[in-house]
Amino acid sequence: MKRHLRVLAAAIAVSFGLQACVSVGAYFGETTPPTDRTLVVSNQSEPRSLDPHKTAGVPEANIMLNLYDCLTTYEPATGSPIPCLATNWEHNADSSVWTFHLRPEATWTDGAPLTADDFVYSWRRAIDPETASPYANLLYYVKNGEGINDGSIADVTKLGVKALDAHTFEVTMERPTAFFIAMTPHYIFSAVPRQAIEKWGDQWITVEHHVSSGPFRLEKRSQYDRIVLKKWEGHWDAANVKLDRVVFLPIEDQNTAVNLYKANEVHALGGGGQAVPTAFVKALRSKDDFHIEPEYGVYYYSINVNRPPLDNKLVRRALAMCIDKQTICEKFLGGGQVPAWNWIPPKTPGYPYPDAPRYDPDEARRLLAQAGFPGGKGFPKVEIFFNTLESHRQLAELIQDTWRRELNIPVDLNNQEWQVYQRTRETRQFDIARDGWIADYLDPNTFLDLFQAVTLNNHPGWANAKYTKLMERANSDPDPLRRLTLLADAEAILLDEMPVIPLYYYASVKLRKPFVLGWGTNPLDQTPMKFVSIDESWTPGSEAAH
Amino acid sequence: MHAGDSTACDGTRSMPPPGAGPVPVSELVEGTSLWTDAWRRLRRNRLAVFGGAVLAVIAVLSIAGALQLASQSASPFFNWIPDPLPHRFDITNLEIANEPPSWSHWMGTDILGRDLFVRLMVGGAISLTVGLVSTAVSFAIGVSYGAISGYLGGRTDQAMMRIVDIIYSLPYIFLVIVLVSIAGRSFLILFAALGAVSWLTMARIVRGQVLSLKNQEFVEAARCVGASEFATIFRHIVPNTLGPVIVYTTLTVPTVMLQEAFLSFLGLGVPPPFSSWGTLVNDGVAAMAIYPWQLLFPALTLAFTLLSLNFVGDGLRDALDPQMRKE
Amino acid sequence: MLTFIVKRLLQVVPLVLVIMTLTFFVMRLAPGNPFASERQLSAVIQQNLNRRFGLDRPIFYFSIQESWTQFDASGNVEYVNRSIFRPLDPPETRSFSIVRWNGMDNQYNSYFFGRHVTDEATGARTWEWGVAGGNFGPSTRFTDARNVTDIILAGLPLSLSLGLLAYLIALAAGIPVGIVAAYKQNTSVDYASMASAVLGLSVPALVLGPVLIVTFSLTFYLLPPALMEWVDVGPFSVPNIRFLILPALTLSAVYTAYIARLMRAAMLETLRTDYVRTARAKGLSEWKVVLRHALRGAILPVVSFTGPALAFLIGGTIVVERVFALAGLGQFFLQSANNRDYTLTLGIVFFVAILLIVMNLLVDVAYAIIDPRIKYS
Repeated sequence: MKRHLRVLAAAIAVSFGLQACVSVGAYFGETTPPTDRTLVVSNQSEPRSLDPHKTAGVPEANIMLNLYDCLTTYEPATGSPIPCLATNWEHNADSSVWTFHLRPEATWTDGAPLTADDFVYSWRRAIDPETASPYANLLYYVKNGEGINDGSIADVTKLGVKALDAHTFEVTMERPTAFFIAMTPHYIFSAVPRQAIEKWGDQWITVEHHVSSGPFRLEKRSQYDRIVLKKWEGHWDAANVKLDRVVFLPIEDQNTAVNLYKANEVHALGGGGQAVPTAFVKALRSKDDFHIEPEYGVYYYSINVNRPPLDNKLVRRALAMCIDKQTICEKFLGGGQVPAWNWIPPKTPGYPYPDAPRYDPDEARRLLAQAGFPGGKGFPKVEIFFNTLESHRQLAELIQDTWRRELNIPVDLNNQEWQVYQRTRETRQFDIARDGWIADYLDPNTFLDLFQAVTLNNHPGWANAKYTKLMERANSDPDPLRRLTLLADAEAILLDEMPVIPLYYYASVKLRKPFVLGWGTNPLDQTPMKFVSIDESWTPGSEAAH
Repeated sequence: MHAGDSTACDGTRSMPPPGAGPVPVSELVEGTSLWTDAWRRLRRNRLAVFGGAVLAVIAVLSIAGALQLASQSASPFFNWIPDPLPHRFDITNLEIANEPPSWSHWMGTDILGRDLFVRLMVGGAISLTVGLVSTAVSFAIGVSYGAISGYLGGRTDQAMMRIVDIIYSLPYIFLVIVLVSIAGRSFLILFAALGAVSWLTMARIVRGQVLSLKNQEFVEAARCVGASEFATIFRHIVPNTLGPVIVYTTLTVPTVMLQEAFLSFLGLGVPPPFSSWGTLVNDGVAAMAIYPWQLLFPALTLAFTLLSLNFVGDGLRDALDPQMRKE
Repeated sequence: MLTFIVKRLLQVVPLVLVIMTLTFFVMRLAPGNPFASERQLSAVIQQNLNRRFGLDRPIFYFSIQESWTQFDASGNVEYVNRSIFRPLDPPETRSFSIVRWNGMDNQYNSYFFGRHVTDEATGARTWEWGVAGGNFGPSTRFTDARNVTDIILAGLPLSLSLGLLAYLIALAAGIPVGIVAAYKQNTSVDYASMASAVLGLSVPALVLGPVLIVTFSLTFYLLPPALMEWVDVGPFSVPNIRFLILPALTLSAVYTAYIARLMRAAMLETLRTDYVRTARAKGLSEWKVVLRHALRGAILPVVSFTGPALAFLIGGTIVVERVFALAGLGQFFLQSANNRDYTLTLGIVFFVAILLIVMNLLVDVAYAIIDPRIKYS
């Protein structure tokens, strides 16, 4: 049986060796463009729902973006809003009233015209407590939105939306909201078909009853197997849509998705964030079909600011300064993630980034001594909590080991099942907890308003009167540049107090066949399929022409 | 039907089933007990000895791992123990991450630059404890439950087996989550969670065997000479079911070890950075296409342990087999 | 025997009720809620969602509630309010413990039996059946599906074909290997087959699946690496066997190993019993002795094992379904557990429980057929 084991070992080695051999070259795996203009995308998970008002996930967003048109859509390269159903828009001086002019030729797939009334209906439906939309909070910026959703205003029609005429849609905000337009491509703001919903109730979402307005319509849906979208010829922009079909596969296992990609069964890895297992990143980095794009999101540790000794900001700063994020990103993550010193991810246009503390173990030891723990003496045991996932665990092990060696403080690790972990974090039953935030829209506000008050996703439980005031001032400031400066001042307070330790900024790590053109590489990781095409004439070496 | 059946009641040995024939009187005179006899035959089985030797090596390495754990512990009772290993299981160094096997790291390093061999030894200390204790629990519960159920039969048997059905059908993942959230993270809970389910199939197998054995002549013989029910079940029937039971027991060990990894996933048992064979295999799977040694060594260790356990198990089975004794 | 079977079938109903009731409460004791996501929902939105799925009502007919005050580590007064079977009330200041009657309109009652639904427009009251009327309710994870039954029926064809194929492979490979190994005890044939059985065991599906994929799909391009293709055969849609081979092989490995080992052990024992000797003495051919006489006695442990095994092969093959991206019950169960989708979990538990109970009944019947000495009275 010893020989038997050797044979198995050899078989494993051979198969991996062969795999390595096959993947030598400019592209990973087989690369042959399909001839039926059908793009196959792996999409991480089975959607909860295809009703834009009943879900809050990334896989859903990737699909709904193509089924329901919004006022605006994402520009593929930057993610900034560009006209879609609204051809143009304007707002008043303090950005509290927005007016959108709708495209008159737009219709639903059943032929009914798509008008401003549809938006009024849709947004009211989204905020209606009966609908129970998990993303309703994005509509709290609209006048009376929060009140309607929490039931204190019973009349849904009080929502600040109005159809001035069939093609003019007016939105009144709760308070001045300069960044509102950045939110409008989000699917919670899309129009849903009133006629179908009123006729079929919850069943409007089935393939036979479905009515949509986007460049693609629902052709096939089998749960946990595939969702097929077919080009809708009646769409106002159909002339510019180059794909006939898009197939979304709900593949949970990243290795499986990579296998299918290698076999040319999948043309692009979709879903959010990193779609390639960390182990593969180093081997695939040199491939031309491997793509790393920065994302507008941050991975961080929340520190419970109510628990001693972490209630001392010196301790928090010491902990933060004792993590070598540069090395972690380069040597451990290796997937193009950028070390996070600031709270706001880099390259926000016009945003004056405040200084952030850097990696400095000597300074960290000094701060720790100043806080009353010279050489880590007397420092009580702290615990890092995270939900069970290999990468979370490994990062926590690294940080645990670093803190123990550099600062001589005892750290325990505790992994929990995901839902149990949610409970731990929500009830603040932790010392330090893993956390992450991915932007809903391209504006620093999406990160900074977490700490405006001790609410929901403010897991550290940190609040600061000066910070809150700065945030309020910033967001009612009509001057965009001055607003960003005020936001930066707020961030400076956050970085001084360190209720969170930003660790790295997320990156979108994807594989995409070279014949897939026009894919969005924006920091929100959103790609409307109407901009994507397949180059059927692609052959190895022909990409120089593009 | 055989004269030898009467020796069923001599009390020093398990009861031979029909067909064993009369036991030579000389052996009775020697008065060798079941166990010394079995031990002698076990030693003669070369494969079992080989398996035992491999297990001994693995045990020694695991004890070395356990010593390192002890030397690192905060408790003054243990931390005077010197660390026998050249590397630490928990000290990370990204500069040497994912290195292939070399002279300084015999099995290479993991993604955080920790020595895989040392992590395997530490993991062995944990996994062997978990595997053996939980298997013992499952053996004890499964055999007695199954034997009693099968022997008593009728309504009692039905009720006992329906309880097994119920436990089988409950969603295990929720049971564990509730256990963890109520009782927290501890080894005791881990054993409870592992033992709670692994005995079910064992019980069913034993019951099936007992159902078929209990109407045989030697059992009736035992009963007629006045053996108590307890003695009849455990001294006469159970030893005759041991073949499949020992095999199933050795098969339970790896299942339990891999199950431990699933339970750590739910936040039970050993917290990171401690390693176990199950978690090492899982980590290896994630990296297997690029760093195959990270999977190969843990998987091979597991396979070798298992193979040896099976050799020892088979040897033990043969040694305990009452019918083989005269061959 | 017929009375025995009928009696056992009658037990199914109370048995399943007990299993589902226990599951119902165990799930509720586990922390979490069906709508949790990475980003926490506000209390308002959470409340709206609970209302929509009827989760805002009391859980059981009665609740036990305790409240008391205590001091936390820093000396602050803390109000502890624990309740069983119902959502938390606002903290109380004095210590008490009460049992409260919650009425018939509770989640347990409406899930298992049904409830009156009042139409808001007309005011008419209609009775909506629960499980008792075959209605397993809506799923909170897969909200677009009409109800849980639809989801289970969607996953069933795949799970059934995959599970049965793996079961057949395991039996077809495990039993002969076990017999041959026992018959040729202590020869190289025996050692080789048992060593491969042990390897099959120590290589978990998580490893075996990817190794098979890399070898057969990505190196030799013989079989598809994942997913499933459905072929229409008359009115039925059946899985394409090419897509089924690798997952079924992966799934069967462990079971083959178990069966081979159990078979060998039991066979060794039976080969030495006197009825086998008698058969040999009668001058029957070796084949007849082994297959007709010895196998009969030796197969009991295998039968005991494969009963529950088939139920698990069909009901819970999470790892294989994940590795091969297949839409079977395992994936649905994993999602339902992770998302605390109470209705879907209960639906799957119901299905697996029935399967298991029936399989175990069949096992008991098989005992009596195989071994005439076994009698159920």
